[in-house]
Amino acid sequence: MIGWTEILQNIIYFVSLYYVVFWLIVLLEYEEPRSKRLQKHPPVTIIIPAYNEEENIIPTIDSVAALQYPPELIKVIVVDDGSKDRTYARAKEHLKSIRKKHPKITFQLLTQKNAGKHAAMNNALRYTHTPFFATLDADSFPYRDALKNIMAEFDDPKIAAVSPILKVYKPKNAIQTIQWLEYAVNHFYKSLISNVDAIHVLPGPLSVYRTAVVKKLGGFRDAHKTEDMEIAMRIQKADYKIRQCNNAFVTTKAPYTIKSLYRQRHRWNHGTFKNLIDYRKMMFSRKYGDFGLFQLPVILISGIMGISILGLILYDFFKSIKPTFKLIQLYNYNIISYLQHTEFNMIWLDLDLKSLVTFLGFFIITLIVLWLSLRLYREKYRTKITFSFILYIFFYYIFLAIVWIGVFKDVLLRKETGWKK
Amino acid sequence: MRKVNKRRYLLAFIISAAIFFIGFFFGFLMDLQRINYFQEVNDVNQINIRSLQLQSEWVKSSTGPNQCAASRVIFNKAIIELEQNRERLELYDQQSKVRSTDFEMLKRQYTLSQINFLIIAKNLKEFCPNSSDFVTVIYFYSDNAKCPECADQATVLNYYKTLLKENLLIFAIDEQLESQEPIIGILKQTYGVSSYPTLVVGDTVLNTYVDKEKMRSILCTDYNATYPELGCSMP
Repeated sequence: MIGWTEILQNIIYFVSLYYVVFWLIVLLEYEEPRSKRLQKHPPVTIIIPAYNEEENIIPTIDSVAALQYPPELIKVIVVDDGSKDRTYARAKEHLKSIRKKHPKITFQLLTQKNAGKHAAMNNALRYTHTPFFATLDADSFPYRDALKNIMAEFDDPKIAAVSPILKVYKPKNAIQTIQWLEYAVNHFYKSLISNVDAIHVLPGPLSVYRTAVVKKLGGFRDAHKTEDMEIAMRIQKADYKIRQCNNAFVTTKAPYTIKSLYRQRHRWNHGTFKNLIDYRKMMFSRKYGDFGLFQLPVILISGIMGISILGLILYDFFKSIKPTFKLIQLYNYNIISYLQHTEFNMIWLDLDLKSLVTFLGFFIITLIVLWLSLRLYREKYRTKITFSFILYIFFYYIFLAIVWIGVFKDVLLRKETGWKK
Repeated sequence: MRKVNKRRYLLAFIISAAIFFIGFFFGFLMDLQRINYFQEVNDVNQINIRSLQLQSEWVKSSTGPNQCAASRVIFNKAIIELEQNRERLELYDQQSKVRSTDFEMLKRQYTLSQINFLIIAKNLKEFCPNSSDFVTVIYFYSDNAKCPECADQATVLNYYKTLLKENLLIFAIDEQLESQEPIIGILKQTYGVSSYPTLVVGDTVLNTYVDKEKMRSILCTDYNATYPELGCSMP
């Protein structure tokens, strides 16, 4: 007899397999895009919203000043969102010196009462008169050629926004290295969905927009503290295109502790879920092509599947160890005595082939995806990340499932989250 | 309205379904392999039973220590394999989704083999008492709905099995096979089994769950020799 857990398991396996096959087809359908060359440099405004970023604001401004882009075509607007630390003072002081060093770049410093990141960006938008603008989180540092490469992607008037590839800035511990791997895989995935015009998020670090489109759409919204996702949804809804530039890299600081990582992911996933509810009419709608039919359901289902997989793993795990645990209990928890008395008599037929093949299948797919992701990242696998890699494969998705459980709990209890990382 | 590539969706579905059915097919092949394995095991069991029955007959007619020892060697080996394969059969039956009828049949054959071994064990005990210091346990069990304590009872038995090895012979009888195998009904009647778990330890019938300590005290009285693993307190 097939029980409910097995029915659920089979559904999850089939859906997961379907996604993998779908993206594999997309991967094979599209040729690797050639690097585009920027013919004419359009003027760009770079908006840096900052809240309590006294440590990062100076290096972020410096990284913008170092961009390989005609300086007379760059305007930088730093917006202090009512920081409680010395962000404003430090930025003001630093702009004085940097203006001398880079006289052709226009710098502007704004300050406002704390109103959120979206309000800071809208404030800066009022002073933006260039055809394009970029947002840059105040803890992010673009590669020197990033902006130039992104601008080359705007070769179609329907393209309203282009996002770069993010890398975790100098990972220092396993938690940051896991995120480094995660970002690599996510951006590989994003490179695929970019091919079918289904990108659903424009991250803060150096996403570039057509100013007219964003102004026409009404600027940024609070959107449950995930304005980067909401603006992407609105752009998609208005039938514009969003692309990822695969040769533009930006490093960004990532949470260092598990607690801060949980908080960040909770905020992201909470906002994602709420935005999905707000834009539910787009889901499964053919009008929005692959974005509505495939990408939005994937985002929703991935959260539910994450929780289901966690539940199934824990259920199977406890079910399988229960008899052994009870036996060890009878040995008064003397594991050595238990091992001395137990004869392990296994034959190959004892293998649970279904679990083994499923595990190996997903493991091989993960390795292939990681290899493709590192290729996109232009990085090589280094043995020193092996520990983080193992944690990433075997435990990180369990962590994400726990985050989703927290999100669903908060949605049910109608709790809101704060915006700061 | 954006264009949707229907072919891509359909192709992904066909490939996924194909991979999934290949998985089911391999599961089916695995079941077949397991059934073949148990058919071979059963063949060996039948030969062992026949051999032990002959030896038993011989021992009955001309008792001698050498013959008893010889019987005991074959018996020990066969009984350990029998128990290991019973557990294996239970596991495969739980995992099998497509050939459950075959596994039911195998379980029937297996139960019959066990009962055969039980009779041989009783004969050995009777005719070779000096080389037969083992205790037999007939364990009547059912599924979780009928017998929520059976899983724990199996663990207690398993614990003593790991300690005493061939000196404890467990014959686990699944009461759910009774409708197909009348001998189970006869055994139940013989020992007055009406609830589960029921244990017949030597000649003692226990119609209730027997915990670790109670089982220890029963076993301590049933063995002729002392086993330090059991930790029996000396009288």
